[in-house]
Amino acid sequence: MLKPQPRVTEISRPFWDACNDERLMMQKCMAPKCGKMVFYPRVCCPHCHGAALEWVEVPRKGKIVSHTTVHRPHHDGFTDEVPYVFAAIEIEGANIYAQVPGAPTDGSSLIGRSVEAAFVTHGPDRKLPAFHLVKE
Amino acid sequence: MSSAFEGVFIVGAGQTKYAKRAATSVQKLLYDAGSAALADAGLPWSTVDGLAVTCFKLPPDNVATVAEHFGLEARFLFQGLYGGASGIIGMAHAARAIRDGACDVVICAAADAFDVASHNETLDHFNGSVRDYMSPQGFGGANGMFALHTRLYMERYGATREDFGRFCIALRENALRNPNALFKEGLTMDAYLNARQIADPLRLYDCVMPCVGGDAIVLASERVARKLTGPKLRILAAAEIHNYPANELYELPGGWVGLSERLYAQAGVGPDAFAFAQVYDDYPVMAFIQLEGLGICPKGTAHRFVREHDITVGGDFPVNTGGGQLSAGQAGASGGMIGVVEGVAQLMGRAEGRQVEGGCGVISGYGMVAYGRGVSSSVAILERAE
Repeated sequence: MLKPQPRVTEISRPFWDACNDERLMMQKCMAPKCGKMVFYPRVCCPHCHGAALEWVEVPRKGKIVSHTTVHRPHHDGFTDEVPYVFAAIEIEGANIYAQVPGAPTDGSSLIGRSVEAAFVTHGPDRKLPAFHLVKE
Repeated sequence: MSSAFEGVFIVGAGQTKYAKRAATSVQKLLYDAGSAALADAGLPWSTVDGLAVTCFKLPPDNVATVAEHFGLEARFLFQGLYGGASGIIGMAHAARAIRDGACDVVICAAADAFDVASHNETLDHFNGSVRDYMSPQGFGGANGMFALHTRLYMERYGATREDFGRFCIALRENALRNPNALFKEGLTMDAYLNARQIADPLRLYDCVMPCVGGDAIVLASERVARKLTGPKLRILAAAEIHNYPANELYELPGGWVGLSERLYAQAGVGPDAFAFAQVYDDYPVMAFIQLEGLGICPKGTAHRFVREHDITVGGDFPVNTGGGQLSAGQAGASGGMIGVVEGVAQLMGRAEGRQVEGGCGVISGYGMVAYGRGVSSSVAILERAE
């Protein structure tokens, strides 16, 4: 069954195009006093409200902020994959959600663990970031 | 005490029967809840000139078409777009409209007809960031989203599964005194801890049961209210806050800490005045964060609060006296009204079988789950008018 697909818009297209190229891109605020990394894709910086956002490639490495092992998915497209780990991952101050394939699903804490991005096929012409645990 | 809404009174509350499943339209649920609240107040539909409605399954209809459907000539309309925060926000907007002379009698209603599948379907495309950056990643719906907050709360403050269990078990005890609650049997710690896994660390009884139902209250101007013989309540203060704190997903999920100081200054009372709290209990962790944000206990200590205090109807600080959404059921957007209706029933002395003493209480709402958290928080302090 097809999993829920993101709707690619003029705001988010660079992110999704980069995923298909197996690169991780985020917006960065170019205001000299701000400079924050922004995710999800926006029309303005949610920190300083300026419009000077530029797409930059970010390191593939991040840290797990929190996580869950999903046993009951919200969509039938994930039913064959349970249990799996879904996590909030911090990359250069921005927050991105993704699965962590291969991580222990027994509920042991992964908070603070380092992860590295890979890309998985999610649907027709659509790759999504996924993250793997890496040694510190 | 002074009221931010002088000349405005809550004069009635009503609820439909809650059901796990029912082939009932949301228009019918809204009508039945409104009729029950009007009957409680002793007012006919012909007096109603304002309507506040929150209902996820209402589109393509909206509050204006509901007014048309019911044949109301409305001078005030509000449609809640803030999920479970909307019930209180709609009540506050309606109170301002009455205070400012726009209208005299407003029904504030919420209803939905949900089951697990339709709940998940709604969540799947609740808003753009959920649809595009959470749902495709298999986030597990609201359960997965709040599992992340629950895990962080446990790690940060040393809360245990048993602490959340104490909260859920106490609410179930309260529900057993509420004939309209869907759960009819007590919950043991063993059953709580060993229930089916949903999204670790959440198990079945940490999650609300989507259901069918509707809730409503009636607000009236002094001109109308003084002719009524039943009890009347005043809104001492009400507040909403959204996206607070901005850009901090995992520091303080929920905005109550950002609104409580101004709220208590406006109300002229603090947490010591409350006979009860009706908090938005979509998940136990969010109830904990509301108790903390509202200053009922210090930040990071709600798990100790439920160890040290009895939050059942007979206890020293009753919370969610009708069982809350966790044990009465979550009828979609009605989850933002169920606490209002319960709080109003308590303060009017009409909570038969579960009545608590005292004339002042606090009610809070929470909703519009977006990128990783609920964006909207609301709260109201109600007092019986002497």
